[in-house]
Amino acid sequence: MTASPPPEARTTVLVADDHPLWLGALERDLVEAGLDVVATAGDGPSTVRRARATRPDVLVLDLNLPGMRGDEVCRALGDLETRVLILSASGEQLDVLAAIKAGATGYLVKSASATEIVDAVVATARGEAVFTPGLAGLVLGEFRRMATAGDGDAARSSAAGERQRAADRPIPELTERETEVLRLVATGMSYKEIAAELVLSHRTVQNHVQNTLGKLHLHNRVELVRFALARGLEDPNGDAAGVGD
Amino acid sequence: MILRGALVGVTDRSVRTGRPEPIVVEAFSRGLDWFRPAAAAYAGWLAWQRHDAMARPWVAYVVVAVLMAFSLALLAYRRRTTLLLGVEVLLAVAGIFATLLADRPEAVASGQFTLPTIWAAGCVVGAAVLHGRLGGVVVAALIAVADVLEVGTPTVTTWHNILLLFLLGGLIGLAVDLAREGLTRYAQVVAERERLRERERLARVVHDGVLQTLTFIHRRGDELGDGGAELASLAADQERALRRLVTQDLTDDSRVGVVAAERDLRPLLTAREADRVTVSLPADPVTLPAERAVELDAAVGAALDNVIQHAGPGATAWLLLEERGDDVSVTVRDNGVGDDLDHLMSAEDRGRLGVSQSIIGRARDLGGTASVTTRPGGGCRVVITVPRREKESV
Repeated sequence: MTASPPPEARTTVLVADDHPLWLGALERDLVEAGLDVVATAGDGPSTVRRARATRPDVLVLDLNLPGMRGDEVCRALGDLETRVLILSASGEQLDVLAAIKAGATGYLVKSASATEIVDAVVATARGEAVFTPGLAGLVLGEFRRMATAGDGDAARSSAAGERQRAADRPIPELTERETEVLRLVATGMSYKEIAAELVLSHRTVQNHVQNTLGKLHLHNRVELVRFALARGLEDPNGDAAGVGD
Repeated sequence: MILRGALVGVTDRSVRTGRPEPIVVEAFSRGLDWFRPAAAAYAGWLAWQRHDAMARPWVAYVVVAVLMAFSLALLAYRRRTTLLLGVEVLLAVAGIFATLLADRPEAVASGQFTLPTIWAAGCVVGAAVLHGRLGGVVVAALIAVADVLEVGTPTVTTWHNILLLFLLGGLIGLAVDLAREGLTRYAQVVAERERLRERERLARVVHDGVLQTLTFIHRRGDELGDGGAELASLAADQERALRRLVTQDLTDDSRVGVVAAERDLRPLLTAREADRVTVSLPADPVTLPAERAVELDAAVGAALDNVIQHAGPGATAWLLLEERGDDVSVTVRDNGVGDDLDHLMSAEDRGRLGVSQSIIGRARDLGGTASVTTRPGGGCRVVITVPRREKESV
């Protein structure tokens, strides 16, 4: 705590990576860019502990930390204000998607340049969703998958009750505009280029992209609550409490 | 772990042989352990039934008592060795010959039961369980010889009994041999699977470490300047190659259960990733009949070739694969110099086949469409959309 008191606006960052070289380089780049790296961590559990202790604005998270999977870390920090930016070397698609669904708001491959990474951290701190073309492709695919899985359920279940249940479970859908924007992101266009192409404001494009992530998170949370409720109702203690009165 | 009553499986370590045994072999042994005292009791009951007709009933009782004592001892002492088997065979043979002392000669000649009766069959089964079909047949032969010698002139019943003994020893021995061989194979398969899993785990660890290091070199090399840039591009190439290898490994795994005639488009398109080509894919496999997948991939390749030839130096291309209902769509976009659309489409008239033939023609052959959007200075966007299955031609 010998450092000079940072100005109010300085963004606090926690960097989590199990590769010491990477961790050092990343930390240096971020500090050079004027960000406040409040802590670093080398494995999943310590990432969660330090994030809880320091409550940074942004957590730069390597996807393959020892001890916990990336999506588990995201889920464990779900109640914090901290925004999670995924940084991954292998780009293992299912893992990236799982982390994004668990609440991460950005994804970048490690081969991105130092400037790109710094920009992404700053954007994440501002609350913007950092999309790579790869992530946009994944999210498009995920919404498509959820839509077709829903159709499949409805088609399979002939009973009226089943159909009712399928209707109760809203499948999130992208608006045509959102799909269009995501498609442009997935083919490498910047928000600025998209804004020009679709004659929208930069901010509107930003919002469209963020909304797609929001729908994904919400759906994931609804599914989690549903799961918890189902488990809770089967809990013998829960039953006893219900029977008791 | 092992279900009681199940016949398939392995005991960790048999008390009888001191090594892992198939459950079915253990079941034979257990049954045999209870068969012996039961057979001895039966022999005793038979002897008591006809003790009036015997010359020396006490010999019969002594023989039955010894057999029963041995049988009960084997219930307590579980280890089965060849030596113990030898003792058992010896007792059976002695019991058979003791019949000559106990019974009158005329009773023996008429084919009267031997004193041990079916107890002798127990050692045939015991030998089969211990040493397989060879053991079973050898001991069956020994008992058969003893029977024949005891009777003098074998009756039809003697031959029947001998045949049954050989069948018993041979068949149970065969079953035991098969079960043991299955066990050996099973152990080999398990060991092989474990080795494979370990290798995969190691590969994952190594891949991850090497990928990280290559990415690091790539990144730092770029910042170093001249010499570094070369290093960086080398590392970047290797990084891409390794990533492709890793994802292909994974997709191969997930292909299990997909009909061989179907092909996932993702590995095909991933292979087109390069320094200036970024590929965006869904997380789940996008399968098409193999020949359609290859044809679509070729159309994508033609679109990328077009980028390389006409988009100008420094142009970057992006590739997006999407499923849209029954259609599969691939978008190829570049940020190059672009072209006048009419000029591009009239290339055919000028003797160049590029866009119209290799992209639009291929898409049409697959029953789909290809749309090209471009303007000078604005890059180029090609969207190829084809139905997943061939439409029924009317």
